[in-house]
Amino acid sequence: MKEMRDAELAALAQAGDREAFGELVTRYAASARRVARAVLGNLEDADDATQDGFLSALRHVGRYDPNRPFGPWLLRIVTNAATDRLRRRRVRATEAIPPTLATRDPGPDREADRTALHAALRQGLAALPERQRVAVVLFDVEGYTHAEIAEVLGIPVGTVRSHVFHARRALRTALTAWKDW
Amino acid sequence: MNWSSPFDHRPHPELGALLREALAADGEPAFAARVLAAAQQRSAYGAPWWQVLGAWARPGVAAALVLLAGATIWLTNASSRNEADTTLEEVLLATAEAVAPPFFTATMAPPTFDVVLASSFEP
Repeated sequence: MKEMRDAELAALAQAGDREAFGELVTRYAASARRVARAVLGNLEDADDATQDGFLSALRHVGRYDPNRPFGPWLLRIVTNAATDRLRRRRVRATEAIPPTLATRDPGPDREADRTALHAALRQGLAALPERQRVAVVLFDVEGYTHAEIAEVLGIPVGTVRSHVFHARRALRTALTAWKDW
Repeated sequence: MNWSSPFDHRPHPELGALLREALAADGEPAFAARVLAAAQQRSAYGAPWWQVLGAWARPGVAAALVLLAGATIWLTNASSRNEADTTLEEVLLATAEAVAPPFFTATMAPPTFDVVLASSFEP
């Protein structure tokens, strides 16, 4: 299974092969969870959305075009699942927005400092519009091209470039306190 | 962190690494197991062929029985009709033999069915 291509695994999963679906989950769980967390912020919600995305992908795997890469197809489903969950959450309750971004608070050691940096980065990310969050994560973390991200988000390539640019600029501003990191 | 221009069309490795750490979630094997269990529980997999066949077995047998019953009734009716019923042509020909008009016997050639039919309707 580990040597098989995504398209082969998808075909097997469509035929009911649980091991093949398990291999796809193993391959894409980390990136799918990161993208869902970028959308939702909350780790528990992100995991629920990622699970919904995987199950939806399994149900509709027959619609996957094996001539195209599997990752963007899957991440589009996961992103949609996360966005749906975000909308439902917004309807349920107004989200508590942190009053300020985490400031640099020199901790007892470098590890604590890095933890604070991560928190600041997540808060900076949360302050971005949803599509900018997904675009910058897919581009700078997951390594997808602008064209692939355009496919995931269903928007033009030029808009993706714009989203990545604005997201980076906002994150740079949010991390001003860590400029010497 | 070394911030290159936000215009840079290449992925930013340092920002990417930081984001990856910040968004990382532990327990990947546990999460994968959870997804697989949910897929199993919700029957998200396509059913194997034997289950599909099994689901169709009962209605399939019922449909076959209905077809068999229909065919039996039809065959029974058809065979009894063959024995009991005579066709109109046979009746007319027999009648014509009994009361044959003279023009039937005036020729060596047997009359056609149309002629027999026309004569039988004559008063």
